[in-house]
Amino acid sequence: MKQKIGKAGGLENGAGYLFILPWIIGFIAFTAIPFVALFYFSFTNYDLLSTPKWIGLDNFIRMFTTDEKFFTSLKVTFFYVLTAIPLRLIFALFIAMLLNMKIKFVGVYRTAFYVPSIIGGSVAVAVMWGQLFGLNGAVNGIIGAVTGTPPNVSWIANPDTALWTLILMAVWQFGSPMIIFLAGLKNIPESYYEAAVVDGANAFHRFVKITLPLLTPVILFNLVMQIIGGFMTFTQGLIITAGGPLDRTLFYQLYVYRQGFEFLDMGYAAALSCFLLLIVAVLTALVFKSSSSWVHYESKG
Amino acid sequence: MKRRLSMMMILAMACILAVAGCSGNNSAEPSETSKPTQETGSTGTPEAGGNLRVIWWGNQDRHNLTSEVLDLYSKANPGVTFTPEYQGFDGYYQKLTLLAASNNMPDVFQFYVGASDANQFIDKGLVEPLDAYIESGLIDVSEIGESTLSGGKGSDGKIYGIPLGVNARVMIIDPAAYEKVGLTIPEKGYESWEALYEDLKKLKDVTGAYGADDLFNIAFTLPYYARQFDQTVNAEGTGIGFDEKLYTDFFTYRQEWAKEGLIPKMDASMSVKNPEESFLVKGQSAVMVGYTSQYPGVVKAAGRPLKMILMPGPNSEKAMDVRPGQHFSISVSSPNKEAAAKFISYFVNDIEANKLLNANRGMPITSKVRESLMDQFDPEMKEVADYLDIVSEHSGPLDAPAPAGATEIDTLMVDLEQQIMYDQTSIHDAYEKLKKDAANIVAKHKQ
Repeated sequence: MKQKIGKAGGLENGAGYLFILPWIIGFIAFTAIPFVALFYFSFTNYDLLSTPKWIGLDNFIRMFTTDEKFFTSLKVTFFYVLTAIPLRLIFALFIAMLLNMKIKFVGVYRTAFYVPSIIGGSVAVAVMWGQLFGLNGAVNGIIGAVTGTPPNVSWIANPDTALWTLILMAVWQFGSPMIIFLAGLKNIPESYYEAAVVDGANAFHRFVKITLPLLTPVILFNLVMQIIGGFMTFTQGLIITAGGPLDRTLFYQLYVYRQGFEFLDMGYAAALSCFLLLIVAVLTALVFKSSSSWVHYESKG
Repeated sequence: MKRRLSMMMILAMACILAVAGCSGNNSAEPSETSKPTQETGSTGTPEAGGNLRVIWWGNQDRHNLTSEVLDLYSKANPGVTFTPEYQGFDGYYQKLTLLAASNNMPDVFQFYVGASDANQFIDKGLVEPLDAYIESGLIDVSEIGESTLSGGKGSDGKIYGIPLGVNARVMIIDPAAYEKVGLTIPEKGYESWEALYEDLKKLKDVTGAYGADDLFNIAFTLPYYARQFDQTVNAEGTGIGFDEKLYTDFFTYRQEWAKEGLIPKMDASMSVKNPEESFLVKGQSAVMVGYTSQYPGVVKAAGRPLKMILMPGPNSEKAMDVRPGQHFSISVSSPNKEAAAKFISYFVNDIEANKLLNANRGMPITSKVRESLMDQFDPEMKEVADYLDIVSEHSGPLDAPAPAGATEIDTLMVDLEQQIMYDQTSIHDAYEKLKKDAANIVAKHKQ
């Protein structure tokens, strides 16, 4: 009996493996092997054009002792993640609440709000953003039309505002967390709210006592995804500001790219990447660890 | 069970393939790749045939014109086919790096011998020296001037690229603005930077915004400024070849002129991404600097007559140079080197081809081709041709090629440029840091 099940299970498994074979091949070829290679390169001096030379921990020593830009880019990236991600999540939740109301054409609105995120990471949007916030961009044009004098400042080339324009862009791309929040909101039974209204809870109370606690699993998911995404920010920095001015928008990934593809120092770039992996892993672990104290699961099953 | 075995096999295959793909071990020896050359042999002559991969950067205009020339060549030389690849300049060298790393270099690639980005390829032995092809006559240089050709020399004295056109630095001015304030246009260029400064103050009143665009972009103007005082930007050994006084003077001009509003502040000038967006084009300045190849585009964008004069300052006859706009080079791993060489020779010497190209990559390098194009040039191109004739009498030899690591030094200089112009550091401190770091970078690359 047992054996039979085992056999059948084996066949079942075989079929299953066969079906995910394309993915497995893809994973091994495009994720696993490059990852092992990355790990190896991080201990070498490798310029992409000749054979890697083993140099042990030199890359990591250089990172922490002599490389100012490494710390600059870390600072920029952390600042960006810690400001842009919370803002984006708050904004996404706000819009999701609006779209959860019973109004006409709500489907149209949902689509419209989601569009910026679909095209979010793309080069075209980055170029557009650069145009909007440039010296003669639409933003200055609008300010000029309202106040009479267009400001003589290029928002993306001014050291004090450059990173904020990118943070604004991140907030504007709230679509994917919004959709997930919306799904979460739809899952909250109407009866809870009705009961609360009967007990005399106002809108704020209902939000804090019902909506937020029941949304916490969704918030956790969004937070983890967004943190990972935030550290991988690259396109905006490369296209809109090229890391400038004064390295105020030198994202970590942009710095990795520069070391690898502009200075042909792929070994060092690999070491930087390994360190980024460590950062993201630690942060994600912290979020998960903390989740037991603030994430509320409805059914303990 | 069987299925599992075959799956294992497939997985193993996938691994092997992936590993083979990853370990792009390019030994720097000029070894021939084992690709068989696609000899068509149908012509019966010892024509070098086959497929040539050609890659270049540029704008859409250039892509169209170049593709036409490739078709023309294929028609005239049956047996030669082309696989062109083209893109804008952004990311071009990164792409070339990846092609080199994956052992997939094109036969012929647009290049700029002497630029720090490009020298890395020469240092790694990825670029074929062309001297042998020139000696055997496969590449015909009989019409090309010695100094033009020397721009394609690497630091070892071998020729690594054939120039596709020549350019020179130029000051572009708005004659109408000069007329309005009653200034005479210095046809031979300004005697000194101070004389230019005096004029800019008056011109600023006419334009209502600036006197000039940013005249001191470090990548463009510093090499020229250094040459005025017998110095260079890049140097072997030390990394930089200019002293603190030169650096201080250069940035003092720039800071003071920007403070007085004669030239735009840093953030404003950084927002000008290409010459067609300049303040001169918009009528907000009366002077700008650029390369001759940009002049027709600027005039077109401005929609009003402009004029070219020589670059300002003392010793401009030493400091000006006629520089190759870009080169065509052949990769060491090309299986069709001879066909590639013949094609390059055709590209720079053939009159029909160049009539199509219409000096898109700068002024053609042979006088024969230049003359044949004179009839079809629009007025701006004629002006450029005349201007280049003046410059060729009024210029010094090209700078030596940049040392290994110059890309990093250039990036550092741009960083410091921003720090100085945004008042984050003093000129003195910037120079100290530059001197120290440049030496370290060069030393690192020497290992």
